[in-house]
Amino acid sequence: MILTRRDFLIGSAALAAGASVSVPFFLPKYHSVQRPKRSRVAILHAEKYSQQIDQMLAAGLRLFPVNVQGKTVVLKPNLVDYIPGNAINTHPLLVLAAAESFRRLGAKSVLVAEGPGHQRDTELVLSQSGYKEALRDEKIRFVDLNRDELIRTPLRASYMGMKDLWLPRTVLEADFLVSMPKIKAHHWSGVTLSMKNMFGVVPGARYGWPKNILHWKGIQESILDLCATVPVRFVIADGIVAMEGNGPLNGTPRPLEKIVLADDPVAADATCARLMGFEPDRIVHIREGAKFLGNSAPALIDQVGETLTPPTTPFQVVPEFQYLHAR
Amino acid sequence: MDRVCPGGGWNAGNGVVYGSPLAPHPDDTAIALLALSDRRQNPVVQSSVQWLERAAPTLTAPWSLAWAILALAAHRQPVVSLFASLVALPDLSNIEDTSTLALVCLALDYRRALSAFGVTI
Repeated sequence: MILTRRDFLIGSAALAAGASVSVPFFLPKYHSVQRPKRSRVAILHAEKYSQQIDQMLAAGLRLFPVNVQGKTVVLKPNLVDYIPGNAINTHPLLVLAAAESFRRLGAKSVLVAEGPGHQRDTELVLSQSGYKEALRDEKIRFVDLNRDELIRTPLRASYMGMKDLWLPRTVLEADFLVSMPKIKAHHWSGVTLSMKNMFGVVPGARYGWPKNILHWKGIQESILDLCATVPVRFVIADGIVAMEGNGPLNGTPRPLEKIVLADDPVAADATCARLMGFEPDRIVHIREGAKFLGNSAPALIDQVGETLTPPTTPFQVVPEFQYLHAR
Repeated sequence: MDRVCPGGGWNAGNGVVYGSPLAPHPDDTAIALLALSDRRQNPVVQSSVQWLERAAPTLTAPWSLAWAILALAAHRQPVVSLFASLVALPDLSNIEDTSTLALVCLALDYRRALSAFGVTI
């Protein structure tokens, strides 16, 4: 067959047209791969919230090469709302223990920052949940991320389809951001762990309550864009009393008796999901995050502390998320 | 009105999720009641006023307390003791957030504030 110049040009144009349609579906939506070669996760056993958490957490942190010398450490707990009897928020004793540990490790400053996602009155949640008194007694500064100074920040992934978000200066300028989630089932995202916990950095004063823009743009998508843009350096997850069922507010308290530490939020969340009896790769933001943010495969996670043992009875979820259960 | 929580009041979203009732928030309830100050006879409004009346005396945060004073005053409920509680808050002079500060100022002069927004009490 003789290929004329005309045939060649038509063929090239057709190829280019085809590529312009199909290539975007294969293009990654993240701008860079931030995934470490290997990740480290520690599971600690803790039966209850007590003063012993201090020593336990300090010992757990020694399992990691954590260097916070001279750095500003921002602890980002999950502080959403207060409903008596519900295990909604990261327990203040764990946050105090983390602050104390990072101070001892030489941090220049340690502060606690959160922008509650459901309750506009941050001071009311702080007061009702026991944080206000605890932070005041330990002289730990709290920053309300819903009302912090904002900086327009380009997003480092494009799952939501937005180019930028206004984000709090306190978080953007942190040297070492620690996500401290409460381990919970979630009726819209399956789970809420260290990655979903980053919803709290999105300022309500700009985007409304309960962080409306993130729900409109897609929860899984928002989680990925946020975690790509605001890197979590460390995770301390509160699973001493977790939540199953209709989380994040109205689920049932579930004693898991675990604290999970990790140097990678994807590895942390994959491990927490396994502790809940879920298959992590069935959770969209963990599966997608494992492509560029961190590791979810057990072969890429150095497991220290306790052995990872899935529960005899998996965490309950709302009917839409039954498929998360590992079989 | 269709988002009201069972028993009255509103929060930032739905009143019931997956069959579970959610708790109302004082500030969201107050904001809704201010918007509904011309519907005082509506049963939903009345039950929400009653909920806020019960919740307000327990409030220790200036933002929620100030909203509660404005809303209850707009619905012609007594706010004298709430006003006294707001004035007595220990951190009142240290409020850093300008929106909270502005709201407290409005609550401390609630008659003029409501009048400026067209609410007759």
